[in-house]
Amino acid sequence: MLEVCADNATAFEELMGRYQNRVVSLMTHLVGHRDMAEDLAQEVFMRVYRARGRYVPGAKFSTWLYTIAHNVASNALRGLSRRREVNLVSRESGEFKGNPMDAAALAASGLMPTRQLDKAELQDVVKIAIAALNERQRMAVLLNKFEHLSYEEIAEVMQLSPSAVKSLLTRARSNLRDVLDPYLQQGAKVEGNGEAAALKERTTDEHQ
Amino acid sequence: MSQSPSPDGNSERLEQIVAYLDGELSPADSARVEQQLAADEGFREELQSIDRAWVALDELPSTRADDSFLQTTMEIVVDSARREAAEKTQALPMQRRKRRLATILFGVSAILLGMLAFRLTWSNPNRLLLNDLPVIYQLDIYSQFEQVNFLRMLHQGIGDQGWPLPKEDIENQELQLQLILSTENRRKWLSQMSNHEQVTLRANFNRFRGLPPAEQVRMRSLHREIDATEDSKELRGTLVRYEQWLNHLPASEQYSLREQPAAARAHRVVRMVHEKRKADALQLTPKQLQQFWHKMHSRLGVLERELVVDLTDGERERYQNLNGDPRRKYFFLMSIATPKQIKEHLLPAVLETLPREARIQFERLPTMRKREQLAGWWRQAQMLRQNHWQEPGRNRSGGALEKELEAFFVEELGPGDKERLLALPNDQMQRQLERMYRGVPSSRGRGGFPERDHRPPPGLGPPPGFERRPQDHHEDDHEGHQRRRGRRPRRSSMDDDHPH
Repeated sequence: MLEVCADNATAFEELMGRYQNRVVSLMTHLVGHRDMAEDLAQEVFMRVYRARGRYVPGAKFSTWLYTIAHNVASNALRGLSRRREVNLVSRESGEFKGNPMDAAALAASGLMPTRQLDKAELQDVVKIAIAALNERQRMAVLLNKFEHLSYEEIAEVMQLSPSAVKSLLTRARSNLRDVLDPYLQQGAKVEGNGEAAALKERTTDEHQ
Repeated sequence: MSQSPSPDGNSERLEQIVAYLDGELSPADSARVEQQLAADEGFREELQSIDRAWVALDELPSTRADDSFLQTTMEIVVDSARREAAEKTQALPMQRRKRRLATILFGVSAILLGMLAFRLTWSNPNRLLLNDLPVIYQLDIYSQFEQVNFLRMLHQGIGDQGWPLPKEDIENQELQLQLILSTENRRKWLSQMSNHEQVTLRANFNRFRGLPPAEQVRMRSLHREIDATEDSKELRGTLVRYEQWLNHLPASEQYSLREQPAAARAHRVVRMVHEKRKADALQLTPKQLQQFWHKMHSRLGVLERELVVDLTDGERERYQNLNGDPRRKYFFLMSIATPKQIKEHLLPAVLETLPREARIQFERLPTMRKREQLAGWWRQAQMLRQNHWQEPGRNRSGGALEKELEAFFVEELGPGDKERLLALPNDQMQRQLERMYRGVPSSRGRGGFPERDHRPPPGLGPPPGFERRPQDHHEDDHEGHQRRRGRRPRRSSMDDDHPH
């Protein structure tokens, strides 16, 4: 990043190469539209470049990047919600990235019939569960689960206190459990506009 | 089982669970959650359900940027940079004037601020840092004990050579300490620190200054007391080793140690170190495992030829169902062999392949642990063999180790073990499963999880010879088996040479 601050375009290209998939993926899960996610990711990198002079050496770059991404996504979602265009997360399929050991362990325990689940169906349920979270819960979950940010880093990104992040993640994980666990336990399919919609209503109410 | 957080204690309980799973609890709170996990089934189930949903998020497909994304964005960035440069060039004369004025103002204010800062701080921090450097440098370890005698007990119980730590790490740390113990060298030592070391020391310094004055005084006195003793060299060495050893422990375990009275703590540390050394002695290198496997394989072949002629109908059916699977065949043969056969045909030849220390530690194990250790070596060797005797990759996304662990979990662990493992956070579960797979006992000793559950999962796992009733736990498996086969019960060959 210091090279980028010194107007080195190659360094910026390298930085983008390193983070582009993560930012696009984050945006896709946040806004639910692939095309829009790429536009927003582009906006994020543009802002990073424009704000390069304000980057403080020694600060963690990823935290700074996700702060910008959070602001961009929040603005976009506000615009979307004004136009009442919020959809569920898109249903593109993707490669399985989970830990096969964990899944096998759980399956073998007899506690969850994962082995009988259709993978695409499980992916759908997970997408529904994620989409059912409110915007802030979703952001916190994605940063914690996929970007491995600590509570303190998430707090910095979302301009909250660490204890607020703790509560946010607790509610998010409880909501995820409420949607996913019946399915994981009994294979009961969650309907996109049934239970999840009801949950979405509830989590929106919780929004502070 | 699904519960939402309610305004009452349930949401606090959920917060604890989530923070525990995320590794965000203090050591004290982690220890409390672990105690509750062990005692409260409802709590455990709730943790499992939260964790299950979290693991399921792995199914969320990741998205990749289009191939053209990088190029398009770079074009926009370059265009933006060009415009920015053009704007700057146009505004240059005005900017120059502004910059000159700003430089003068900045210079004046910097001089004023510098003078002010110098007057406020010149007397304190550097002097404090230099005076208390040894305590600040070893702040963590000085907060872990209160009396010099504690170090002495550790030194008597473990000595200098008994700590299971890399020699280079200890030597390096001792060298650093030697440098900062002498007041003349401190300035030089400080000036040679790397940026990272400076940041760490600065953090320690701030923590030290944040301590109550009484605690600061206590640490300084402790440091002086160690210096004044006749055996200060040994005690300093023990201090370094204890610190490095503690660093390898999970935070919750460090906390539980700190909570114990000094004598009990020293006793527990000595015991833990000895147990770790014993366990380390039983770890074989790939080459040793290879020798073990070859000997074991050839001896099992001899045993197999001898045993197949005398199988009962049930045993023959099971033997045929093995389909040559080496894992199942091992357990099958070990379960139907008589103690005499194991002792005469198998053990002496196999033990010959072990290094001396491993053999000694093996001979000292109780019967059940001997069984687990042999099975553990066999599994490791089997896996290495499949990997052409190279260390397998340990990444979590695949590879031989994961497959082996999965098979071990599914086929060999009992329901109790599975349940306890699943109650752990993922990384701990993985580590614990690996330990059990290698036949290594828990680092928490006999009282802590997990002592192996010898109930096999229904329809799977070790053959009947390895099943145990609770009351049989300290008996020999072969006795029961011999009774079923109508032969005279005899003590296990593994029992003959060592009392429980």
